[in-house]
Amino acid sequence: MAIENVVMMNVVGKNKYLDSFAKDIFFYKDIQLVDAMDEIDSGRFTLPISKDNIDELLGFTKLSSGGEIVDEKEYVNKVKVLSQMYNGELHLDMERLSTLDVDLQDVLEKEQFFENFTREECGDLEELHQKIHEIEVSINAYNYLKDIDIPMSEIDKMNYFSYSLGSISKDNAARLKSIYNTVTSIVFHVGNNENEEVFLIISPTEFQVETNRILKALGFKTIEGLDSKYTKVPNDILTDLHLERVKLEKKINDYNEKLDDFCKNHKDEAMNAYNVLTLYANINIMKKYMAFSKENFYFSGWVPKKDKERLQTLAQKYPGMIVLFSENDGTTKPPTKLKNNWVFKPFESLVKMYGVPAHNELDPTPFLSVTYLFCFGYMFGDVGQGIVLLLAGLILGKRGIELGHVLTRMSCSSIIFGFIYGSVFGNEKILPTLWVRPFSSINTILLTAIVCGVAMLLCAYIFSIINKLKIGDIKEGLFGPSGIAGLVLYLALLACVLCTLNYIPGGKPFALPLGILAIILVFFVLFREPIANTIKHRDLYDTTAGDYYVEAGFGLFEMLLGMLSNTLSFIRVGAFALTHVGLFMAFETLATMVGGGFGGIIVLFIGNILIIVLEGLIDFIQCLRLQFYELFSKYYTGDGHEFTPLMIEIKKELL
Amino acid sequence: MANSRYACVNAKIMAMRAKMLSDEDYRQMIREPDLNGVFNYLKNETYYAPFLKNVETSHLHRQAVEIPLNRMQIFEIEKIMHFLYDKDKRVLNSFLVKADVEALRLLIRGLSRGANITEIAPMLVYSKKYSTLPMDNLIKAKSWDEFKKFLIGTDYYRILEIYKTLSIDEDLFPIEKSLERHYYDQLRRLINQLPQKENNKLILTLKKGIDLLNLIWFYRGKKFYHLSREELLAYALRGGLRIKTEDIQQLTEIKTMDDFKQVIARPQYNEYAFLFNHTKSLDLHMERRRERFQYYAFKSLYNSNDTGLSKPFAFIRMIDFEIADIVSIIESKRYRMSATDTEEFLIRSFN
Repeated sequence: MAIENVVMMNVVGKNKYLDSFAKDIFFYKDIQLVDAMDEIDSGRFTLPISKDNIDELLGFTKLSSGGEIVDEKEYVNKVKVLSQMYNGELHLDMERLSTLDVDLQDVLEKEQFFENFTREECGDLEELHQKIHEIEVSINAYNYLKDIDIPMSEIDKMNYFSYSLGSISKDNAARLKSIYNTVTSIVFHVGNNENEEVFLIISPTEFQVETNRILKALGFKTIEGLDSKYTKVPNDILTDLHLERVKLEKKINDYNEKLDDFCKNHKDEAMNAYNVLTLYANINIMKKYMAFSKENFYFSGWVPKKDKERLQTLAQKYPGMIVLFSENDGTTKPPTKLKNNWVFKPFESLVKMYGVPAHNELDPTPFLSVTYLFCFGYMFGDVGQGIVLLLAGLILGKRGIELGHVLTRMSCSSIIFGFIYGSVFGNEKILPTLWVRPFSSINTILLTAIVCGVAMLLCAYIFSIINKLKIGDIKEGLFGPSGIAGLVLYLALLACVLCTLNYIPGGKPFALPLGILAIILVFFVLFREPIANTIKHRDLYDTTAGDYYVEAGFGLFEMLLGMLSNTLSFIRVGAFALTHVGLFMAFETLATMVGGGFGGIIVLFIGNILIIVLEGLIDFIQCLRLQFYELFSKYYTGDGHEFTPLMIEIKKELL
Repeated sequence: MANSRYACVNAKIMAMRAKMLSDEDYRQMIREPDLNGVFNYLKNETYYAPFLKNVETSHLHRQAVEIPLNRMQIFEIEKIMHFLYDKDKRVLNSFLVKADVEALRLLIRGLSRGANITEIAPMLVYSKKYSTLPMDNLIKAKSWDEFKKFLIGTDYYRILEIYKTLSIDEDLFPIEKSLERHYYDQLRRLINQLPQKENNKLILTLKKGIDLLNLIWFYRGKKFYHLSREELLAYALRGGLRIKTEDIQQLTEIKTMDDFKQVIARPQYNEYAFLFNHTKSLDLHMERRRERFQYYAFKSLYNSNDTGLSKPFAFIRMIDFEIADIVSIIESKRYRMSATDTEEFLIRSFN
């Protein structure tokens, strides 16, 4: 299914073409960078030995890692400065960048111009902010003293006494209180501060040493902000400080307006500089993944197989550049690049919640999408409620929430099933039914759910067989509980049950042979390891025979139980379809009980909201449960790692 | 009536308790001729084995054995905490806070000596799972200011930020006492939050422990450190059973050691008279006496029918005493002490 093949691209080029090549790769962007040094060290990055490659081969002996010699911080910081000036309004515009005549020197000068403006014209800004901070600290300190009716200059002038304001933890405050009487100072409790108590301590200068020692022992933390330059009564000082703060804030506003004007007038230049600097920051990040010899650079990355020719053409622009592609040789685990159409794409997020598919595994997204939509629609079939979910999904999707897109698709399924059931906001009288009304055909609804579940399980068996055989796992693929033996066993048991219960006309005589076939298959599953190992000409058991049979015995029990429980589990799809209608009927009865009219409408309105939110959530979770537990456990491992194209990786580092 | 909330943890503890050392184990270790013998016994015959398997035997010394034993205790505490929830978990966490405080103390001592504290890292014993300390950063600190900066966001920053310098003579003692006081203030708060009825004996035992620590603090503060009344008060622990705030004030006002003994002789302190009842080797054995008192108190608590957290708490304290006794035996080998003398210094007694 939709997993795109990726190959490793190794490039050796002349250092003089490095920037242009990196720029091309930046615009190509569908590449996952790999540390070239690691590739070379592990022997995966090799060049064919020939006369033409002699310089490049010699370069292998004296390589430096880009991570040690390249630093992108200079550019990243400049990008950040511009971004902060424009409050994050600037953004990367690949189209603009591709048409720009990139002159790095010119851009650096331009950026310097922006920095100079902020420094020269608004240089005081930082100082003003600092002053405001200091004033706030002082306001906080003098607030504790506002009940003192003496000018601070008088207190500061004292010759034989000194004072300090500070806080102590509540535990230590209790200790201080117990020594109020005998401590060598006068202690005033002046207030509280977060979890601490604030004290003003006045002590004779003669006993300063003792006082300090005791205060330190109690963890006394001086409150900053008292200053001898403030001489008035604390209340007047506070008034002055508040006034000063207002003045400073006005000044800051003036500067900000000036800065805003400047930014508005130079936005286009800033945008260009931002884009070019972002490009260079990215180029430098790319260089960190490269290795360098005196003359050459060595570059590695995973790229989609289909782009091989395009990349080769790109490299031909640069004389002497060697490009090699290597398929997965089993020594590394290539990243998984998922490729799904716009309908299925949002469901990738649900798949990733379980795990990213391995590169040699089938992508379960399309199957999950179809079955998920079917199950959800079946459970939550209602035209009106579906439209509400659709609106919610569209809003969430617009805000960039991935689950919003899933919701829009789920709601479409809900609307379709709404038409099938003929239900609008729970009301079944407006629309005609295209199939059945769930509550009047309970058995049909439940049985259909199981039949659909069996079909899904059969598909899961087939995926499992393909996945296992793809990686050459004969033991599980042919004879495993989720392999061919498991599938045939499941079908045989199913047919046996149907024949015995006379669901297949004239099938009763086949029940016994089917039962015998099932027993034979059970033995196949039980002895799968020795059978597979005999085919592969290996030792009969990977571990000891005892261990194997204990494990396989329990496994067998679990498999048989699983076949029954997994099948019956799908009955919930039908059950929730009934619950959906049942819940609405409950609200309908309540609406009648309140006497209909406006009150009844309110009850139905609240009922619908509850059904949409509560049942919608439950159905969403139940569907997910069916996928993860009943289906994924059969055919999906999800132990791959995701292909992260260039743009995402670099953006993450920048932001 | 059994409290089902603790049934699981108590069952686990009973299984863990069965592995602890017996009197015969101690006697055997005392009989060993040297440290290597004690170490091999611990490694081959006791439940400490998994924690001692990587200890190098070529340069065996006290710390090389003590640190793995303490690590084992942390491991056991984490295991017990796994069976507890909410408040109960927080109460047991107090042991891990104590380990944090001890680790901080070691680092601060190292910093004050100007040592490279990265080298102290292997000696630190703390819970990686529950510790609030940014240990990876702390051990990289090159200066006192940098060290404090790493502690921003933890309770310890407030305690240490007022110390602008870290001199051995001026600051080390108050810092260590402040950290100790912080731990006991936390413990007191946790004790107060415990349901009184089901933890009655545990609370009494813990409060008595605080009383004993206070008495030793006042005695030593007066006799050896000659501390002022205010300093004695500042570092006195609150939350004791018999020594309340007013008693603390009274005890700190005493001028001479004779007066001190007279006050201690009052009926209310009867239970603690054993600390000072000895004429010979009073100071030398005071700490051992306190611990022996606590050892028997926790042992009795372990076997009591308190339905609360008594068993987990007592069990962890019993490991404390076990490790302390093993360390004493190790020390006794260093000083070539006789078996009888070694037994004298142990917390438990075999009589």
